[in-house]
Amino acid sequence: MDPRQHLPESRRHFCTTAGAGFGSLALAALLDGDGAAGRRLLAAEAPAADPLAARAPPREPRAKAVIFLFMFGGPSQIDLFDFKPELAARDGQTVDNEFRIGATTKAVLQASRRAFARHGESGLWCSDALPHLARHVDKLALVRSLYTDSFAHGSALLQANCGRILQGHPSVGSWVTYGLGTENADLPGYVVMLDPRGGPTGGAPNWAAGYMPAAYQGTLIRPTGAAIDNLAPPPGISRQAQRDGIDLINRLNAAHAAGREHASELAARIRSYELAFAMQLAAPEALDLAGESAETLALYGVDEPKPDWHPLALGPATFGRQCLLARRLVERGVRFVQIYSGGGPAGGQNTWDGHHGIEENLRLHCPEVDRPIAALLTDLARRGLLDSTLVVWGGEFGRMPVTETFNTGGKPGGRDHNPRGFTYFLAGGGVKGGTAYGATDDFGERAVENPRHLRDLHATILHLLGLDHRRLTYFHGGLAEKLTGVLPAQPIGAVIA
Amino acid sequence: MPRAPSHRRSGATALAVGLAVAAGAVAGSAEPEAFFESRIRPLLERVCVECHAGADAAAGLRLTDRAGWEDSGAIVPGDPAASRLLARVRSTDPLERMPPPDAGAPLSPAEIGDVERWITAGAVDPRAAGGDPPAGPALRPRPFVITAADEDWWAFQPIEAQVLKGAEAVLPAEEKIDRLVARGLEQVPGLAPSPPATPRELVRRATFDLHGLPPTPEAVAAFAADPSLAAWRRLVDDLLASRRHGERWGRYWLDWVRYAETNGYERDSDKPDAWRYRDYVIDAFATDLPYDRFVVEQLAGDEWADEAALPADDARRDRALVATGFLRLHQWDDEPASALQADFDDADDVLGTIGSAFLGLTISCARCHDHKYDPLAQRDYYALLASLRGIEPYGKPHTGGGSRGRGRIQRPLGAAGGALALAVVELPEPPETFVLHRGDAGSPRERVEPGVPAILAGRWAAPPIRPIGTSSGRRLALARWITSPAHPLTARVIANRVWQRHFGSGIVATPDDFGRTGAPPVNQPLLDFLAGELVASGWSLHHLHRIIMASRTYRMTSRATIPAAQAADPDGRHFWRQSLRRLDAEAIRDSFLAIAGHLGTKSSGPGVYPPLPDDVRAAANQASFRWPDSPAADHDCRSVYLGVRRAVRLPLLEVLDAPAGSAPLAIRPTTTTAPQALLFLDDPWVHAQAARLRDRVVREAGADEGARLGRLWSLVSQRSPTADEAAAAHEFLATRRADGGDDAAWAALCHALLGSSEAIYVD
Repeated sequence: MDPRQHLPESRRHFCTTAGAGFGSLALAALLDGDGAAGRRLLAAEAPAADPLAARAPPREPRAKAVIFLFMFGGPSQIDLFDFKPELAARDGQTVDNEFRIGATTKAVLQASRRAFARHGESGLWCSDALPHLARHVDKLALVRSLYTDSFAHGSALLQANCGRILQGHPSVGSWVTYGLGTENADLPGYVVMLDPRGGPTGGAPNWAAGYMPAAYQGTLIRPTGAAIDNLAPPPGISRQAQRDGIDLINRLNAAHAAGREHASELAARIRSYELAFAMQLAAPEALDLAGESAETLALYGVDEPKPDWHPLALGPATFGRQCLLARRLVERGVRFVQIYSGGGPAGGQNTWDGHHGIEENLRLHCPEVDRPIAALLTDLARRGLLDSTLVVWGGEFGRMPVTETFNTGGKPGGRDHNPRGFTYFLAGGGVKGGTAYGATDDFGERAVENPRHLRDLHATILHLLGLDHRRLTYFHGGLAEKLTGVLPAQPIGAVIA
Repeated sequence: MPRAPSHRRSGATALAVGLAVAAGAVAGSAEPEAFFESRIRPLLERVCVECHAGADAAAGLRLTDRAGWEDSGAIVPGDPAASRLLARVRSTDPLERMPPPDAGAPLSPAEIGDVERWITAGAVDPRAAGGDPPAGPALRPRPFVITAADEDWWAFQPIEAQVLKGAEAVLPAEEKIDRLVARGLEQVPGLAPSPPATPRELVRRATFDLHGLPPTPEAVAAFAADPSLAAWRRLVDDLLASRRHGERWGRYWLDWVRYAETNGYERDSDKPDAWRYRDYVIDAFATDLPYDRFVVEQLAGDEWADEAALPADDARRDRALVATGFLRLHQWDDEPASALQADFDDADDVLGTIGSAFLGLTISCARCHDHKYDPLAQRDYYALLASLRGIEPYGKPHTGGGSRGRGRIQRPLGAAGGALALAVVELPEPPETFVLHRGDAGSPRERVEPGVPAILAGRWAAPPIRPIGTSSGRRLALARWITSPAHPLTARVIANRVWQRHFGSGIVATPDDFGRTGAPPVNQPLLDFLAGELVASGWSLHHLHRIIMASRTYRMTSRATIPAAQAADPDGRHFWRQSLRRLDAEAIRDSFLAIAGHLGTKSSGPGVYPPLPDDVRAAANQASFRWPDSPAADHDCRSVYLGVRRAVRLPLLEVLDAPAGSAPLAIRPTTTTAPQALLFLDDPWVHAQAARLRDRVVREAGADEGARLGRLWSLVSQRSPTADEAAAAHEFLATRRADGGDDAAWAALCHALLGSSEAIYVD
C-alpha cells in the first residue's frame, strides 16, 4: 500500500512529502551525489535520497538484477516449448476457433513441423528450433499457461511491459529501479537494447517511466555503431572544462528548480547531467567487448557472419553481442536490462509475428537468439552471477495452433496472435529450474491448467527481487498505483525455488 | 494461492481446533450486522480482499460480497468446523496458511476468535455483489447492438455551447472561460485558481506557445512596461499574424496525421512532393483557414474544387489538391505479401487517422470485428471505408514477389505551372465495398454503401452523395458530415487539442480518443463552450487562441503556490494553475538557432537534410537508408522544414522525443534522459550554436564583461542575471579563461546557458 515500507528513512521523506516523487530534499541529494558542484552548492544539506541509490528490498531478494529477453511479435509456444501430441494427431482437421473475442470461425489445425524431445534431468520438452537452449532446460522454469488481455501488438506490448493495455504506466524496469535503485551510479540503472531492424510497436512508452519521475525510464543503447551518441565532448574540450560547465549548469538549474519543486523532471534533469558525465567514462568501458576472451565471444556467436539465405536474417551475432553486453552491465550493477529480438513494423517476418509462415519465422529468429541465450546462461552461471540474476524470456503473446491465411494470400503456414495461452520461461536467481508449470489445452491454444495472467508474472519478478507487488506502490492521481493494477495478482509460487 | 492445498491433513486438524474454540465463542453477538461491520469487514478488507476479489479472485473465492463465498465451502454459516477458511487461517503449515507467509502475518488469536464467532452466529454478511469497481471499460454486448448507454455517451451528445445563463451569458468569452474553469475547481476540494504569472513569463509563454521560439528581449521589455490586457491582446494578435505561428501549429498537426515524406517499410522510398502538404498545413494555420474548410480540403479538396467549378489555373484549386496529400501520407509497403490486402491496410491507415485526428474515435478497432468498447460496428467501419475506396490505390496492382510500382499519386498544379503535388486521383468507378470477415480482403461478406456510424447517423445524418464531374462525391459528403456545425465530435476534438497545447493537458486527457477507452472530460461545460465558440466564429482557430489566451486561466502562474491544490491535483489536470512545460524537440533546435542569431528564413519547399553523424549513417538499415545532404546554406532552417523520413531521423530531434511518424501521435512523451544530457554536453551542433551565440554577444555588447552577461541572459532568458548568476559566471569565466583563453571561455559560458533548464522550459 505504501512506498514507505520499501524505502529507507530518507526516501520515505521525499516520496511522501512531494506528490510527484521529488522534493527539495531529493534535489539537494541529487546535487550531493558525487558531483563536486553539489557539495559546493548545498553543503549544508544532509545527504539524502538519490532516486537511483541502491536500496535493500523489504524481503531477502533471490535476484538482484533482471535480464528481460523480449521476443517482439509473439513467439510460438506450440513450436518451441509447449509440445502437443494431440495437435500433431489432428493436423489438418477443421475446428471452431474463436480468433477474436466473440468471433468464432472455422479454422484448420496446424501441427508444429518441429521435432520435440525431452531434455535434461527434468525431461522438459523443447523443440529442435532451440537446440542450444535445450541443453539448459534444467535451469528453466517454464510457465506454459500465461494469458493476457489484448490481441493487438501495441496494447499487448504495453501490458507485457507496463502491466496495462493503455499508455502512461511505468514499465517493469521502471518499477524495479524505483523499488531498488541501481548498484552503479555511473551507468543507467535500466538499459534497453533494440533489434537493429527497429523498435517494438509503440516505441518508447514500452520502457517509459509513465507517471513516475523520468529518472526511472529505460536508456536506449544502439545495437550497432556508437552505442550511445555523444559519449565524448568535441575535440578541444577537456574533461575539466566539461566538469566546470556542468557545475555551472547545476548551479543555474538548482536556482531555476527552486520554487518549482512540483516539477520532478527538473530534478531528473540535474541528475541526468551527472549521470551523463560519469557515463562518458563508464559506458565505453562497460560496452567494450575487447576484454572478452575469444572463447566467450565464440560462445555468444558474436562473430558469426550474417546468413545470406534471407534478407532479414541476422544470425546470432547481434543478439549475442547484446546478451554479452547485458552480462557486462549486470556484472557492473545495472539493475534491469531488456533486449528486444524482432523490430520494425509488426506483421512482417522482421519480428516474431509469424503470420506469413511460422516455419520461415522460426528459421529466421530462433538461430538469432538460441545460442546467445544458451551462452548467457552458461556465462552467468560460470561467473557466479546466475544465482543473483533473473533471466526472463517471452513476448507480448503467443500464437494460434490453427493455420492463418489472413496475411498469407491464401497460403497456409502462418499463425495468428494468441493471447489466451502462451509460454514464458524464467531462469536464474530464485527460480526452480527444470520446472514446467501450467498447461494449455490439447491444441496449445488456451491456458486451462493453472492459467495465470501476465500480471502474475510481473508479481513473480518483483517477488524474486524481494519486492511485494501489493506494497510496491506509487501514489499518483489519488491512487496508490501498482505494476499489477487493481486486479488481484499472485507470484507464481511453483516456479520459485 | 501460490501453493497446492493439502486438504485432508489440515481438515482434520482444523476440525479439532474448531470445535474446541467454538464451545466458548457464541456468547453475546446480539447485533450480528454491527459485529460484522466493526470486526469482520475491516479484517477481510485488510487481509483478504487484496487477492480474493473480482472476477479473477484467488481460488475463485471472493470475499468482497456474500455471493462470492456462499457456495464455496470456505465459510459455512453456523458451522465453524466445516468452514475451511477457519482452518486455513489457523494453519501453521506455511504452504497452507492464509494469508500466505509472503503476503502477511498470521491472524492473531483474537482475530481468529472474531471470525469464529461471526461464522457461528450465522456469518451475517450484508454486502451485495457488484461492489467492486470495474478495472476498465466493460466489453460490449454481443451481437452488436446500440445500447441506451451508447446513446447517452457524453461525446455523442449535442454540444451545449450556451452553458452560462443570465448575467453570465453576456460576459466576454475569456471571462466565460474563467467562470467555467472556476466551476470545475469547485468540484474538487482544495482547488482554487492560482495568481497570475509575471509579464516576462507571459511573453515567453505566449511566444513559445504560438511560435515555438523565444521572445526578443525588446518584446518582453515592452510588455513589462505596459502589462495591460489591451497590450496583451495586441501581443497575441501580432504573434498570430506571423508565419512563425503556422510553422509552430502546423508541426502539431503533422504529429496528429503522422506526417512523413517517405513510405516506411523495408525500402522507405520517397513520397514525391509530400512537402507541399506540409507547406499547405503551415499556410492554413498561419492564415487561419477556417477549420471546416481545412478538413474538407484534406479529405476531398479535388471534389470541392470541381464542385465550386474553380478554373484549372485557380490557386485555390491547387491548394485544395495539395491538401488531398493527406490521403497519401500512410505507410506503404512496396512488396506486400498480398497487394489486395495491402491496399486495405493503406486505407485502414488513412481511416484510422481520420478517426483519431478529426473525430477522436478509434475506428480501426472495428476493422476485423465490432469495436469492443465503443458503439462502432464492423459494418460502420466498412461504410466509412467505402467513401475512401474511390481513390486510386497508392500501389499498382501486383501479384507475385518483388517490388511494385506506385499508382497515380501525383497531380499537376495549374497555377503552379504544372508542378506536381502528392494528391489523389479518383477512379472512374469506385469498387463495391464489403464487410471483410476478420478484415481479410479475401473474405467479403455483406455489401455496404458509403455511410457514417449508426450511433451518429441517427442524429447527424450525412448529406446525400452527389457525383461531382467524374468523381463519386463520396469523400465530399463525408467531409461535409464531419464538418457539420452540429457534429458532436469534430469541434470538441480540435478545441480540446488547442486547449491541450496551451495548458499541457487536454480537457479530455486523451485527445485522440473520446470513446470509452479514453478519459472523460474533466470539465465538459468548458469543452462545449470552446467548441461552440469555434463553430460560431466560423471555425476560426485564431479566435480560439485569442479567447483562451485572454483568459485569466491561461495567464496564471505555473508555480504550485497553493499547497492544498497541489495535493489534490498534482498534475494540474483541473487547470487550477498553468503547467511548466519542456519545449519539444523542434522548438529547442529552433530556439538555439534563434538565440544564436542564425535562424534561417526558409519558409517553403523541399525538406532539408542537415549533416548526419557518421555513426547514425553506419547504423542505418542500408536497404532503406537515404539522406540527400542539403547545401550548408539551408542547414539553419526551422525544424518543420527538415526532411521527415520514417526509417532514419536526426538524432538531435529523436533523442528529444520527436515522433517516428508511423502513427498519429496526440501527445508527445517528454522524457528526461542521460542521452539528452550528453546531447547538451557533447553534441557538435550544440557547441556550434554556443560559439555563434558568443560571437553575437561579443558583437552586440562590446568588450565589457558585465554588458556581455546582460546581453547573454537577455537573449536566453529575457532577463538580467541575478547577483548569484553573475557571480557564478564571472568565476566560471575566470577559471576557463586561465585554462583555454577568452574565446573558449565565453563559448563555454554560452554553452552552459543553452544547457540550462531555463533555456528549454517555459512557465
